[in-house]
Amino acid sequence: MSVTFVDLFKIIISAAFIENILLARYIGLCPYIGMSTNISNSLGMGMAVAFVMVLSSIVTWGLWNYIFIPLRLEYLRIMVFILVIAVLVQLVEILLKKNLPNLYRAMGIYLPLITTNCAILAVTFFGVDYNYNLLQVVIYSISVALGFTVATVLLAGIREKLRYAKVPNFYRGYPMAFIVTALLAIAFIGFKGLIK
Amino acid sequence: MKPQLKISLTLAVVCAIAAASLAAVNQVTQKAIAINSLKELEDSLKIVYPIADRFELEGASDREVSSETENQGFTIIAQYQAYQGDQKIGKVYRVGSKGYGGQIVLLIAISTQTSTMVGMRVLEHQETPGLGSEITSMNFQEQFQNKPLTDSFELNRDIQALSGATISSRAVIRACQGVLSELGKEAGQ
Amino acid sequence: MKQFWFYFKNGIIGENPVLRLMIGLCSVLAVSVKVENCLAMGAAVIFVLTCSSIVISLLRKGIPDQVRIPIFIVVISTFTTIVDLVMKAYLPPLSKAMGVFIPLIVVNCIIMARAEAFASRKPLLPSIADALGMGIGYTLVITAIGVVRELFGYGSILSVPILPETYQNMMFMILPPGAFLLIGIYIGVLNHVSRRTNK
Repeated sequence: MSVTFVDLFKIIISAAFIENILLARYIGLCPYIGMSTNISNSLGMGMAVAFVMVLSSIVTWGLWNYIFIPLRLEYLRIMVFILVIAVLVQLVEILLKKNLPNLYRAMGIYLPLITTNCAILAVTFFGVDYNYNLLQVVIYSISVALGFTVATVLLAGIREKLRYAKVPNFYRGYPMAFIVTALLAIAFIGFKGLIK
Repeated sequence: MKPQLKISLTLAVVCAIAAASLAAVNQVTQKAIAINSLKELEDSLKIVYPIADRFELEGASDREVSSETENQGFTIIAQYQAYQGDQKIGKVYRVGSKGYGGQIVLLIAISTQTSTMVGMRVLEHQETPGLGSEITSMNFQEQFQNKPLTDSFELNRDIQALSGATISSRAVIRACQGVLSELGKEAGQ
Repeated sequence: MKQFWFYFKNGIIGENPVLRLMIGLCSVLAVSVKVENCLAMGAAVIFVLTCSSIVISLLRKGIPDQVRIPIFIVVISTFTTIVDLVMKAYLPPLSKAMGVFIPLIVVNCIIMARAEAFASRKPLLPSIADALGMGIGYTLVITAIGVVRELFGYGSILSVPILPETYQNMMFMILPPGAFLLIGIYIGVLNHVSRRTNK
């Protein structure tokens, strides 16, 4: 099966924008809402998520196609995939602590929380359910992470400005974040039909 | 006991118990799951071609819509021979067609006896709710019932498009035309 | 017994997982298009949450601290897989409607958070109370959103048509923006109500 550049480009656009994992598929909302308070947090988290997402997609893809299917162990998928993600997050933590201690300290509690980021587990499922080959899995996971980061940074930028706006008392903070997200979601719907 | 040993042992025991219980549940549910997917297929074939009493998969195995088919305008996913008793009365094609929001999967039933399209059913789609999603409505699908294959199948001349959903309607037409040309190819062989 | 009710009510109101603790959000918004999906999801979450809490609470003294997260993961994913397989076998249309969100229960922050914060530290009965409370609190919120979305988006509740035939379905409620808007409003209203009652 030949995969052309156009096919890959379509994957990138649809994964990052048209079917944005946060704004169109509702996946990955907890860290999105929790971390989007300022732009630098969002960027940092986006990068960490991207790293874990791509790595875990590759590893789970390999496990699925070369171990699970031949050995008929499909029912162990949920357990093994999430364990792979947990292990990778631990590795990232150790690596960061040793080589980039400043970034490690800045990320604080959010690093271990990446494990429960539904988006990463969801992407590992999609990577195998869509019958992608290895190249497509890599491109797909990078694109989803890109879309996730873009949406988070957008919200963070708006929330930074919102701090100086007159928001009704009971809607300060999280309620306003959701309402702004609704507007972002409407904007992203405009991407539909982009790929003919 | 050494702490390292206790840690690994606990983890191993818990994993073993978990894996074993899952294997057991899997055994119990496997049959039902397999039956469900077969039944789903049978049901949808029956709906689109009611007078047939059984169907047989023709040619290559029925593969799931994969990414390679996702980005193309039209693909044939599978085709089935429709029987009434021992007599071959027609075919059902399971096809994919690129719509507005993504791949549309439909069943198109053809009667080889009367050279008509028996009917069309949309199985999966990602069209806009309220607009393109109306391709699943009876009003739209009725246009394809018992339709002579010699009709032009042109949008707005032959088939009424859905208001506000030209691309979705066109996708369905493309699927029909694809099936027709496939039939032509087979007849020519 | 008093303690039981305290933890139970806490999960529903005081520390409602969705509206207060802000966890478990993804499934709430994705699944809540139809009320029957909400109830099914709620049942699944209650099942996984309660069973996991029971097992973890019973094992809490024997789990070495370093491996507690992997063990939580193994326990939770086991019950999640059981729900997934059982639904695929005996409730196929529901399973299809909920799609990837059933397997995603394993990363539903509610379950992991309660295992870490509660079940691994408290005895069996309080853990069950907390699990049931949190699960029911979750189900109430997701159903509250589902009722509004199905009513205005499809004109029905539990697939029973309620609004007259002439009602034009409000697409907005079925699509993501509607869901985000609704939950934003709900949280704001809850803030308002709870601050009023605390005064």
